[in-house]
Amino acid sequence: MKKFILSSILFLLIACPAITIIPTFLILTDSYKHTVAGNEIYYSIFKSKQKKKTKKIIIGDSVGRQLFSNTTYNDSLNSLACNRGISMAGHFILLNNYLNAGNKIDTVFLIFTPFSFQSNLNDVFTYHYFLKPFYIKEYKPLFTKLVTEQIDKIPYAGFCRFPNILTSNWAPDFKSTDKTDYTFLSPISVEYLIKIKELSMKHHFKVIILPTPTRISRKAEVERMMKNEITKNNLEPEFKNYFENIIYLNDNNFVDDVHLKREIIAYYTSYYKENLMK
Amino acid sequence: MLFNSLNFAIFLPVVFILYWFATKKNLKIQNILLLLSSCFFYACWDWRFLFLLMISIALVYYPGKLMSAAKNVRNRKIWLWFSIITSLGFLGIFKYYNFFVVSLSDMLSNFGLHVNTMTLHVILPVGISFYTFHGLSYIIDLYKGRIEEEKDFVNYAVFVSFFPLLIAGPIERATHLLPQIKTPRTFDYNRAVDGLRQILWGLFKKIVIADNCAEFANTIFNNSSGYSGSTLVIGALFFTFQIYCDFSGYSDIALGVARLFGIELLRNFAFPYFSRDIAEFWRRWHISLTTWFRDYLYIPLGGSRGGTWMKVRNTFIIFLVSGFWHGANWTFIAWGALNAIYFLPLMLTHNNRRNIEMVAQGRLFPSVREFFSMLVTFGMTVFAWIFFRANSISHAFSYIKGIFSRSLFTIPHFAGMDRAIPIMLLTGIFFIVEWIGREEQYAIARIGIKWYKPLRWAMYYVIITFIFHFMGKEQQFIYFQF
Repeated sequence: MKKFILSSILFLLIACPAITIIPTFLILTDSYKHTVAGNEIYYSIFKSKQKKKTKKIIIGDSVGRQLFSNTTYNDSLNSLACNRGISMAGHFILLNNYLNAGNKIDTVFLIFTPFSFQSNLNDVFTYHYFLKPFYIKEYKPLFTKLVTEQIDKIPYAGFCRFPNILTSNWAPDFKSTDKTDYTFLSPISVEYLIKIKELSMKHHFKVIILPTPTRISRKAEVERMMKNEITKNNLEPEFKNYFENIIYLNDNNFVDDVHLKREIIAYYTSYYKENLMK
Repeated sequence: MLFNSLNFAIFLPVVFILYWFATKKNLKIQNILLLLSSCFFYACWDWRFLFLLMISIALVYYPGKLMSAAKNVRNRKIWLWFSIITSLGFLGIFKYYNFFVVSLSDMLSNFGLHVNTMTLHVILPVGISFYTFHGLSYIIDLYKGRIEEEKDFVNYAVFVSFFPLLIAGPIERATHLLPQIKTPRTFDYNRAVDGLRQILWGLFKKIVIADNCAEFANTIFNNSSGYSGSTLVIGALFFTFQIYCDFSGYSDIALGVARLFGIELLRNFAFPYFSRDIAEFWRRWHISLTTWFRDYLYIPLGGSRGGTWMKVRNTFIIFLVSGFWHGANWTFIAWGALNAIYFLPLMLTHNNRRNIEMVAQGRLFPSVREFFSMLVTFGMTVFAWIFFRANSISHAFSYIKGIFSRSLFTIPHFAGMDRAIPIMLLTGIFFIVEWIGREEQYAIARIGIKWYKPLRWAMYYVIITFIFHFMGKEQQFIYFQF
């Protein structure tokens, strides 16, 4: 028994540095940012810090990114769209980075499914998609009290930057027990949409929120959303015609609940450019 | 508490240290500790079901006592059936009630009769199928005189609720596990180290292969109508590896953990995907369940004795019950029926015991004939898994229809495919390691045993690094739902 305990302790003592070698290398070379699930977030963060001439910016969730990929760039549109998991807090940080890099903007398009605004940093993706990329000294001053409270509820939040955790897709099994009384805009979405609005007034740019094409079978779900959550928070100008602009498509145009089939993406990208983003 | 969770990583060493140090190797105290630990382990899921577990234990243990004390066969039979009916009754209510009510209602509505059905909003208690079968094995063996009555309630309760096997097996036999619980256990260094190796390999299977394959299998199965035939084949393959690595990974961890406490559990998997026919597959897949059904259902029904009709009937019964055991859904029954159809020709032509030994024993490569036999059996298994994984029978048929379409010959594509490629490569490497270690209890049982220690430890660190690197969100084991 003594031999077993001593061997186990020795094994674990060596294990700590041994199993950290590769993750540390991945962090030093930044290569984990290309391989982990949600690598598009790291790319959007990287891109948000670049100085660009583009004055029209796209921020969005994964469907928004399908329509306007964040890996392509041209002088007329710059997409920082990534996914819903980062919540509106993450999207705000991307926009803030872009402005801090000295870029000038005239319009910000927020392209989101009607379901993405429900994100309140309380789902299973929060740890991996929000905490790992954003829970760092640089961004903490941008967190509201509510964001901090939500983070405090997530187990092992303080470990998210450990090399082995940061470079893997691991996240704790987390089920939120929050009571939700909203159907469309989560409290965090409201807070950060207001912050985006404040930025727009300060930097003199327009904010236009656009919907993504949506499954016809989810129309009833969308119609049940309480539109007064927009008026209550004085966000009508930003959400002007948001629900009217939703294009409902047959379910066979989607690969899952929200994502579009590859074949139709190009068509709708052009459609958005020509009709909704003029 | 999942085996692959941080909570379990704390729980296990604490119980281990208490077990070997705080109990001063007193068997009675060790067993009480195992029982309390198992209760704590189970209560972590839902403490309310702990009462159900205890009632379930009592409803077998005390009738068992009364049965042993009974003076005549009639009374013994009464207590046997009382125990069987109450145990299966619990299982029926919690697991199958809604299924029967909804199925009956659907059937009546087909005849134009609409009835108001009352479904129960009950949560399936985790592990109920497993601990019910543990209890049944005890009461039946006791009735048949294969074992003596267990006088100590704690020993019996540990047999049913021993935490490594409580949630998803292996399904133990009273004749195998109870004697070990009653015998003083001594710490064996080699056995404990072997247990840790098996845990490590189980975690690798679960976290690296199963959980990652699950992500892509779910993507494809949940949106199967949107994918090409070739992608659907990839989805079925992902699920094939997911279910194997998930369940056999769990079993490896359970066996390894039990070894740390000086207890040997029944082997549950013996490299089933290297089987040369379906009969062999069923001797290698979920062995503890297959042998349970064989001993407590198939043989009492007459087994393969009697005429052809009898053999066909018994085979269908055992496969259908086995399918139904997995869950209250027609998909599992269809999966069981399909396996019966696969199995019957072998049995009727007396070829079902042709391949007993492991394929290509003592050789590195199989013969061409063996290779093709394995390939065909593997293909049939993959096909059957579609029914197992599908949400409904119609989903399974539409999935199969999707496979056999013109798009079968197109290049597969699905969401996250770039991340799937490393997983496919790893699964390929895993399959090779399994092949190399196929004659052992588990694939890495002998790999590196004779190496210089630092080299052997380096191998473990590489496996641990892989586990950390590829781990995603903590995911439940599939068999918990059964």
